Amino acid sequence: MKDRFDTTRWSLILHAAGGGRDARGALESLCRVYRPPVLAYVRAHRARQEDAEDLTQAFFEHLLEHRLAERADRERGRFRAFLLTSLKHFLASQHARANARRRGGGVDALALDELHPADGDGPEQVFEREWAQTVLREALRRLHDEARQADKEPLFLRLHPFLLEFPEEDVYAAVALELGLRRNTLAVAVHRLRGRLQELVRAVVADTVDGRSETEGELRRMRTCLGQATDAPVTAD
Amino acid sequence: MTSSASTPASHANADFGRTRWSLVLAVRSGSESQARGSLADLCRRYWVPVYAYVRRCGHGAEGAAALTQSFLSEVVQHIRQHDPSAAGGFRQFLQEQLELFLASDWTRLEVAAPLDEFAPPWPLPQIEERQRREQPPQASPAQAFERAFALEMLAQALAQLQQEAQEAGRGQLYEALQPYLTRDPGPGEYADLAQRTRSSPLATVVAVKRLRQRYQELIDAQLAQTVGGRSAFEVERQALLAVLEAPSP
Repeated sequence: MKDRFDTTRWSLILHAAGGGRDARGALESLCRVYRPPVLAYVRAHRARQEDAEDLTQAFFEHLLEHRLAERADRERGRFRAFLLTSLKHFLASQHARANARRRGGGVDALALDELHPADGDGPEQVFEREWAQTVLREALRRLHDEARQADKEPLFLRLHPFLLEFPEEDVYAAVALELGLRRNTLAVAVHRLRGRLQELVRAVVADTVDGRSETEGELRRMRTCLGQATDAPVTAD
Repeated sequence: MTSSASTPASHANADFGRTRWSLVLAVRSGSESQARGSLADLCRRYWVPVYAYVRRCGHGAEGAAALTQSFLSEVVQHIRQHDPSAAGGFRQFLQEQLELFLASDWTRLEVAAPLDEFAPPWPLPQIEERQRREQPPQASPAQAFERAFALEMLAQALAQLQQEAQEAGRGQLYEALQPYLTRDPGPGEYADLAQRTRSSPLATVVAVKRLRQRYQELIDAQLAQTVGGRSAFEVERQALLAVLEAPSP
C-alpha cells in the first residue's frame, strides 16, 4: 500500500525536457490541488478581497502558459517553494503594471495593493498553513477513495472523526457496540486507519518534491506549521 | 548471598544454549498447561514494552491496553505456526511483528480474539505511573519499546536476585545492600552499613561486590534467553546499555 514510485509529479515536471504533455498534465493537476494556498496568499496580500479569485485564476493561467523550466530549475527541490516564488513574481509584476497605469491616469483594482496581515499572520504564514491543510485534505480524500473501493465507506465515515484525535475511552465502547466490533478490534482499526493516513500524507508530499530527502524536510515543516503533537498524522521519521 | 554469589561468572554463557527462546519455544512445543504457563510469563515480561510503544503512538491508556492485548494474542498465534527463533533476537522479532501488526491494511478486521492471559498484568494507573517515571516524554515509540524492554529485563534480574537471597535466608542483608547495587556508598556509608548488618567494613565491601556481580550474571542470563547466539548476545548487551544510558525523564 506504500507509495512505490520514485518518479513524482514534481520530478516529472522538472525533468521533462522542453515541457512534454505529461509534464503539463502533471503541473495542471498539482495546480488544481494547491489552489487553496495560492488563493489564501492572494487574499492575505490584497486589500480588495473580491479580486482574489480572479487574480488566482490569472496566476495559474500565467503559470501554465509560460515556460517554467528556467524558474523551476532555481526552485528545484520543492513545488511549494516554486509556487510561492512564482506567485510573488506574478503579483509584483501585476503591481508594477497597475502603478504604471495609475501614473497614466487609469484606475485599477490593484492600486490599493498592500500587505494585509489582518489576523497577525503575514501572507506567507497564511500560505504555509493553508498548504499544510491542503496536503491533509488531499490525503483524506485519497483515503476516502480507498475506503469506497474496499467497500468500507460506512466504517471509514464512522471512524473518520478519530483520525485527528484518538477517541475517549467511553466513545470506544459505544462505537464498538454500534459497529458490532470488539473494542480491541476497533482500537486496532483506528490505529491502522491513522497509519494509512500518515502514509498517504507522505505520498501526497512526495508528489511535490524532487527526491526522498526533500520529503522529510517538507513533513517537518508541515508539522511545525500545524503545531502538531507526535501522534498526529503528519510524521517525519 | 555467599553461595549464589560464588556461581562462576560464566553462568550466563553456560546456560545460554538451553535457555534461549525457552519461553517462546515452550509456547510452541510444550503441553497445553506448559504452553499456558509460558504464555502468562511472556505476557508479564513483554506487556509493558508493547504498551509503551503503542502509548507513544498517541493512544489513550485504555486504547493502548486494548491494542497491546490484541497484538500479543495475535503474535502467539504466529509463534504457534512459525518458528520465530530464525528471525534473530526476540526483541527484534517482537518489534518487527508489532510494527507489521499495526501497519496492516486497516480494512482487515479479522483481528485475533483477545486472550485473557494478555489482559493488563497490573492495574492501568500503576502502569501509567511507571510510564511517567521511566519514559522520557520525547521518546519515539521504538525508543519507548527498547527502554521498557531493557528495564523489564533488569526488573526480572532484580526479582530473581531478591528471591535467591530470601531462599538463602539472607533477605535482611539483601534489603540493606540492595540500594548499593547501582550506586557507590558515600563517605562513611560502608561503616554504617557494616554496623547495621553486624559485619566488618571489609566483609561489607566484599558482600556488595558479590551482590553486584550476581546481579550482572542474572541480567546476562535474562539477556541470553532472548538472543540466538554469542555474537548476538554481545550486540544486544551493548544495545541494552545504550538504551539504559539515555537520559530518563
